[in-house]
This record gives sequence, C-alpha cells and structure tokens, in this order.
Amino acid sequence: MTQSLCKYSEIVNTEESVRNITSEGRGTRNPVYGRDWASLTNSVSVFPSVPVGLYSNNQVSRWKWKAFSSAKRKDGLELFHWSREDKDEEKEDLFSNLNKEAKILKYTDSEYEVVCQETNSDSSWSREETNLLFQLCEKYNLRFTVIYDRWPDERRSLEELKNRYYSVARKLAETRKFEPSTRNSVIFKHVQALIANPFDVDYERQRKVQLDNAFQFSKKELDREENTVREARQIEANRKRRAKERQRIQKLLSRGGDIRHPASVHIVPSVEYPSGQKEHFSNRHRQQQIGNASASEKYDRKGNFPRRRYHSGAFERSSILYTPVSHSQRNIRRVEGMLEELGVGLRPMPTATIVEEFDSLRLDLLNYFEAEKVLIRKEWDLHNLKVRLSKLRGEEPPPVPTFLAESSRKQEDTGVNTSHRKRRKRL
Amino acid sequence: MKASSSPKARTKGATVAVPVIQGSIAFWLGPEADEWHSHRWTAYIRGPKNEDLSYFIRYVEFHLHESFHPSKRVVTRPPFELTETGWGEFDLIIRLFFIDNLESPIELVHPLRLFPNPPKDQSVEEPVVNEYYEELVFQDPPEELLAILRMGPQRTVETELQKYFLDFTRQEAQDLEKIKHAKDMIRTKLLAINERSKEIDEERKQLEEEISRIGKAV
Repeated sequence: MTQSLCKYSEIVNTEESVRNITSEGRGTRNPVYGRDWASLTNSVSVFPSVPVGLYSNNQVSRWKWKAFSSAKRKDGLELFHWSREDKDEEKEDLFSNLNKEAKILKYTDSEYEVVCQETNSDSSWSREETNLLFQLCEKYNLRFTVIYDRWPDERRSLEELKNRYYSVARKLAETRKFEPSTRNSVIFKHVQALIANPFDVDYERQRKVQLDNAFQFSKKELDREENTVREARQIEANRKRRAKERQRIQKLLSRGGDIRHPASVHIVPSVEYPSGQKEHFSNRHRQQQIGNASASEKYDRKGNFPRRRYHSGAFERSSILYTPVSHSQRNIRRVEGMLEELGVGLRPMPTATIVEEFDSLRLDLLNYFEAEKVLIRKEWDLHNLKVRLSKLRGEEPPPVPTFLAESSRKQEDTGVNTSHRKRRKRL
Repeated sequence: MKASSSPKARTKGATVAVPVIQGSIAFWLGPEADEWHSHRWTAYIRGPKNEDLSYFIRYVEFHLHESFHPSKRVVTRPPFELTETGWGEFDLIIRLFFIDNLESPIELVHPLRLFPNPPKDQSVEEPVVNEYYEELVFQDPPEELLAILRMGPQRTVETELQKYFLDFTRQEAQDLEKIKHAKDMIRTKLLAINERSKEIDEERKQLEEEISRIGKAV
C-alpha cells in the first residue's frame, strides 16, 4: 500500500509521464477522475458500462462447492470443486473416461525361461531387475520418465529400461497364443502393436542426441545450419530445373538425335534439286513445289517444331524460317549468330526443301550448344579432380586451362549483354 | 469476278505452293532533286518469271509510311506495283487478297531500300534493287481456288522495270549447298566433342583411381 502511494506521488510529480500518456491518446481529461488517476492506473478510465440486454432478468443459476472422488483411486481421497446445482446429480464420476490403464503382459516362470534364453544378448538384466521393471511399468502405466526417476540403479539409462521392457514384452507377445474370442480385447491390440513396432534403441538414442544438439546450438551455429539447408535446397532446385530443361530440349530435338551421342545425329538426306530449266520453268517449278509441299505438310503435321501447328489457310513460307527454335532467348540469339557466322544467314530462299533443311540445321545447332555445355561441365569436373589429386600429393595445383577460363568469362559477358538488351527493350 | 454463291468447301489434304517475289527498285533522282523527293521507288509483287499473278490475286494493298497520304494504296490489276517518291526507307506492308474470299489475305513485310548496301556513291543510272523470294502456301484451299492454282498462270506481264529483276533460279541450289556445308561443320564439331568427352571419361577414371589409392595409403 505504501509502495503504491509512493509510486502515485512519483507519477504525479512527473509531468512528462502524464504528457506522454495523453499524447498517445490514452489519457483522459475527464474532470471527475482527473488525469493523475489515469496516469496512475496507466489505463483509460471509463465508467463501466453494460450494454442493454446483456443480462436477462432470469434467475442466476446457483453453484455449489462440492466434494468428488475418483473410482480409480483406492484411498478414497475426496477433493472439492465448484459445480452447478441444477446439474448436480447428472454425472457421478466426471473423469471416469480418463481412467485408462495400460495393459501389461506378465510372464510366468516358464515363460521367463524361454524369453531369457532368446534374449541372451541382454544378459546384464537379472530376473529381479526385470520383475521390478514390470512392477513399475504397471504402477506408473508405462510412463518411462517416472519409472526412470524411481529406478534404484543410476547406471541404467532411460533407453535401456524401455528397451528391456519392450523386448521382453515383444517376445512374450510372440509366444502367446490368442483365442479367436479374445481377438477384440485391448490386450490383443496391445500385443499386435508390440509386434508391429519393435523398439529401436539406437534410433532413440540418436534422436535424443540430435535433439539435444539442436537445443544447444548457438545463434551462429543455427544460422550456419539454416544456410546449409537453404543452399542444399537451392542446389536441388537447380538440379531439377536443369534436368527439366534438358528433357525439354531432348524432346525438341528428338528429330535431331540424342544429345549424349552426338555421333548419332541424324542427317536428313538432302533432296536432289532439279537444275533450273529455262523452258517450261513455271510448270516444272510448280510440280516440284506441290511435291515438296506435301512433304513439308507431313512434317508440319508431326509438329516436332515448337509452336508450330498445321491448320488450313494460306501463309507465307518464310514465316517458318522465323519460328523461334527454342524458348530461351539466349539460345535463339546464339543460333542466329551461328547461322550468320556459317554464312547461311537468317533468311535463305524459303522453298520447301530449304525450309526443312534450315529447320534441321537449327536443331543441330541447338544440339551442338547443348553438347558443348555438357563438355565444358565435364572439363570442369576433370580440372577439379586434378586439383584434388595435386592437393593430396602436396603439389602446386594446376592452373585453370585457358579455354575453361574463357568459356566462363564468355558466359558472364553474355549475361551482361542480356541485361543490357532487356534494359534497351524496356526503353 | 469468279465469286459464286455456291457453298465453298475446303479440299482437305491438298497443299499448293506458289512462288512469288516481293521487291522494290529505287532510282536516285540526282543532286538537283527536291530533298523530300530524292528517290523514285517502285514496290511490287511479281512472279519469278514475270507471270501474271492476277489469276489468283484479286488485288494488292500497299501500306506505306504514315507520312504518305493516303498511306493505303490498292492495286487491282497487274502488274501489282506501286510507284512513289520519297527520301526515307521504311517497312512496307503488302497485303495480298485472293480471288476466293474464303482464303484470308496474306501479309508480307518488305523493307524498302533506297541506298545501296554496302554503302557507295549513288548513280542515277544504277537503281537499288531489293528482292525477296517468297512462297505462298495454301493448305486445304477451297476447291475453286485449288483448280485455279493447279491450272497455273496463263500469261506473263510486261513492265519497263523487268530488266532490273533478279534471277532466283540458282539461288536454291546455292542456299542448300551453304546449309549442307554448315551441317557438315556442326557434325564434325559434334564428333570432336564426342571424342573429347570420351577422353575425359578415361582420364577421370584414372584420376579417381589415383585419388582413392592415395586416400587409402593415407
């Protein structure tokens, strides 16, 4: 009381604290209660109000301080709680549904002999100890932490106790025969569960050690751990993405052969082109066109090329030359660059034969780029192995081969280029 | 023209390709010419052998740069060409309408060239010719159109520009040769990659053995 008075005077004297509170809008200027009272209780002082109709005029139910006991307890201990008078007699034992007891298998002398013989490996346990364990298990309903607490011998670990109990119980469960009539009993279910889930001590120990370690982590270690997990996830995502991309290209290139076996790249046999004859040019030309068109039509129907469909109607053949060969802008640019470099150009004469050949050339180029990429990855792997070996030998690590250094630089360059291009596009 | 009211059916499975050439020829009008009209140019659609294309083309629309008035010019009779004067290069849109209304028009884009490429001094006599070979592919054309297309052109048209026209007869063979050459190059490169990849696999195996040997020794 004196303390609170002290506080009161203190707060009254510090104008600042009052101002603070009012500036936050929590104070009140109600003259009845005064600002000092408000600052003392540090809360809004509002006259308690009750919405109309919250309480009905019905009579309030009565409660009684009542004794109760549990049927489970043998000492007949009586405890008290509040209960409503009108529902007084409804439930005799409120907590009876919590009266659950673990069913524990008990062994006879002969059974113990059998079990013991079979569980020879764990010979450190004596009959007396096992007896005690089973007694405690029954008493404390398999609450092993409690059992461990009550256990007289400190050398036994919690896991050892558990393991002993469950291994013996499992053996018992296996040797017991059950009548069909008892198939529904609790004990039978317990036995089935025992057989289905053998106790694994090592796993349990490891699990606890791990949890303990995780609990002991410092902030720094925790951060590192999280970083590692994040990186691992990223690597996994990258791997998946790469695999998907490769799969897509594979599908796209199914006509061009398998990337991994460049030798098997299918070369479309070039069609004989009838040398242009001056007379009857248009007619001959036309016939040839029709013949070739049917070939290209077949090709169009197959739809090997991305984003190309066969549909009725007229179109200009050169549009086929411009269908993008890949979904990746970078690949498209590389293919275009290579076409210029090889002297083919981006728009050869769009006849049926050339369009087909041009398509297959473009697919071959994609093929080639992919193979090149795989090769460079392999070269890096090889280089890394060399570095590892020289480290093992204690030698100077070999320098990065010039072509590898260049290839990685080139990739960086193109990366910069793309961003430039993108920026330009946006402008 | 030949339009009839009978229901028009498409012929499934039929494909006809008609070669045409889109082009432009530009004459420099000399140093005294008006700076806004330094060139006289003609854009056109023609057959490779100057065939009369009106047997299947009803009319051609040339869409010029917005600075021309009107910017849309329609040519309804052969030869399908359009002459204008100007000072700048732009992309022309050429829209071909066929005698059968069922077939939707084809749109070609033609870059108008006024200045020689690679750049050199212009002369009044030597025009800048820019031509592209194109093929119009009709997939499942309407029956009537198919019959007309199969019959082919009936005559050729004369135009005073035809002495400048390019000949594309050898072009296909040349382009094919280039593509074939390129494919051979790529194939050799792929084979080399394959070889190298095998070498790497061998070398890797050796290195890995070496590493595991040293690792055991340690």
